[in-house]
Amino acid sequence: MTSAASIPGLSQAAAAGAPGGWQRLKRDRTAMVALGFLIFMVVACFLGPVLLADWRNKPSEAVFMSPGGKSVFGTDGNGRDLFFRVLSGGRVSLIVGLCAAVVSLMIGTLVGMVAGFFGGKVDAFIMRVVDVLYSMPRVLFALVLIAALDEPIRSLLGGWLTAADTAGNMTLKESLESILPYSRTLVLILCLGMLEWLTMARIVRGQVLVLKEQQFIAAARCLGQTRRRIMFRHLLPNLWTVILTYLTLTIPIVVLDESFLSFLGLGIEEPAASWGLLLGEGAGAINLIEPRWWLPVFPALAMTATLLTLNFLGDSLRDALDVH
Amino acid sequence: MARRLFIRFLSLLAVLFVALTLTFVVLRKSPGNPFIGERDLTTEQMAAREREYKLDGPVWYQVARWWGDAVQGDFRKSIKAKNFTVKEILAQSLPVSFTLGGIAFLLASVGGVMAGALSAARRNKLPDRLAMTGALLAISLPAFVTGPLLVLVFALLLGWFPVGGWGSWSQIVLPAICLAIPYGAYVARLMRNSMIEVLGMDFIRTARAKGLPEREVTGKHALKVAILPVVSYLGPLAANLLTGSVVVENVFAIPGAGQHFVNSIVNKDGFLLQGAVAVYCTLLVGLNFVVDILYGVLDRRIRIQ
Repeated sequence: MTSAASIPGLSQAAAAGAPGGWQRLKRDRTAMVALGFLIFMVVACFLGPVLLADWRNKPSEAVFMSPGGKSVFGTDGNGRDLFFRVLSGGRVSLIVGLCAAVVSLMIGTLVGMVAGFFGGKVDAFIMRVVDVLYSMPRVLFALVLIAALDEPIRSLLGGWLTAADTAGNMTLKESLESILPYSRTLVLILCLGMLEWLTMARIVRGQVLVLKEQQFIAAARCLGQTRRRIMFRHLLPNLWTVILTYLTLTIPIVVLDESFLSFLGLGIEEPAASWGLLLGEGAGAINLIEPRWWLPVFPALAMTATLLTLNFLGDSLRDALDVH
Repeated sequence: MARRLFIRFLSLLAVLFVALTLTFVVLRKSPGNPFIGERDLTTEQMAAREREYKLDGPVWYQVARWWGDAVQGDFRKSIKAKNFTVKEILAQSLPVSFTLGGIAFLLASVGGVMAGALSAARRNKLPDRLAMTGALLAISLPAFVTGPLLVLVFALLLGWFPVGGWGSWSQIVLPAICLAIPYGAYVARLMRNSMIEVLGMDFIRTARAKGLPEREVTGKHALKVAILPVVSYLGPLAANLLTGSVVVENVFAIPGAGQHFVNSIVNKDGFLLQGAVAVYCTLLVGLNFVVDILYGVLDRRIRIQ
């Protein structure tokens, strides 16, 4: 993801917590292979659907064609090319994964930082809230949040559309029109982002508890810096390694959550696709008489490989940067 | 000790209370309502329905009345499945989920601990690499991929087990494995990390210096300490496994309790959801309490704090 581009900028901040962390990571061959594969996957999922011919995404007579010929991955029940569907589904899954992970990290970091830095009653209260949220089934929140967010976001986008229409801004109108069928994606990003911040909050809090006893924070206090400045200028840079590590580890969790919701028919909706939706469709296609194995197998391979490399990379980052 | 346990117990009760109240309010306040599916109701009819199910008035009043009934053991009727009480529905489905989840729990905890400990003992050797790659793969696979895959290989191609259904022991094997795989992998990773840390400690060096066989050093001395993080994960693990999984129940056609979670939320069947969440939360909170005590027994340094 974008982490590759931001590594040089982070190296100084990382140096404070883990000397030579990035050098150690660069020597880790598994991590580098994983990073390479991820970059390849992202490029394929984002450029593939743009570059491939349009006929691949159109329904056709050729339904349930086994892999071979023009369609390397075969076709689905509507005669659409599965190769195209896997790539465009990957695009949606990766966008949801990355964006929702970023949302959850922002919430989790802020909550954890406040709890750890202020300590005392604030900390106790926040951590009890986190405990309560931990003890409630997550699927409850996911479904309720989707129901609650779906309508407002649709009408918000619709409102912008009419506004752009009356203002005569054609480019904005067109781009909004193309986004509208994907409003569910936006809902999922917000919903999953609001769900997955609990672990992050706990980890950041723990880290802040250690950091705030160190001398540079005491020095900043002596210089009379405000609490907000200490939190964002002194603590936050030292949390980057933790945040980056857990970003790579949260993305797979979010992608799995999204695929679970899509499997239940509550996530991404047709004609948009995601890996979870394709897998759900494919799992229903397994039977003895006509085993259309390619329908579940290719999306499963793409998704598993991506999540596996993300987890590999996250593990390597955690080891290299010595984050716990 | 007893006093501390009592305070801990009270705080867990508070968590249970807040969680259940919050569930009620969240579902009631979310868009839609449980009576929408029943033809077109007029406003008066809707109000009558709400009165019938004690869902009229402000939300806090509704919750208070629900709690009043619940503490007396009345979990009310399901709003959608009208002829059944919540208790009856859960009494039918929970034993199924408990059986399946219990077996999956044994598989995941015992299998995970063994795999993790063996991996740590052979750190960075081939068995370790293989086991850990497998574990990573297992937590990267959703249950609706492993499930159909297991069915395809062991039921359809090899014919060792039935495809699905519930009633005989052979029907439990595949869903239990499917349920246990991701959790077992998580336990194995947890166990390996903790074991590696413990194997670097002084008392292990002492044990080796005494000339104890390696098997006894890892299997007895190190294992006792290294298992602690796993023990603290057992509470949530059991609660998650015992209350059932929608996906596994769906794939293997099992009449368990997991489906009621999702269906009751989709149908806004608040009372059924309250019942299901009550079971889940009680299990989670109760098991965490047990784990706390167990922790003190296992590790004398901690006791209950």
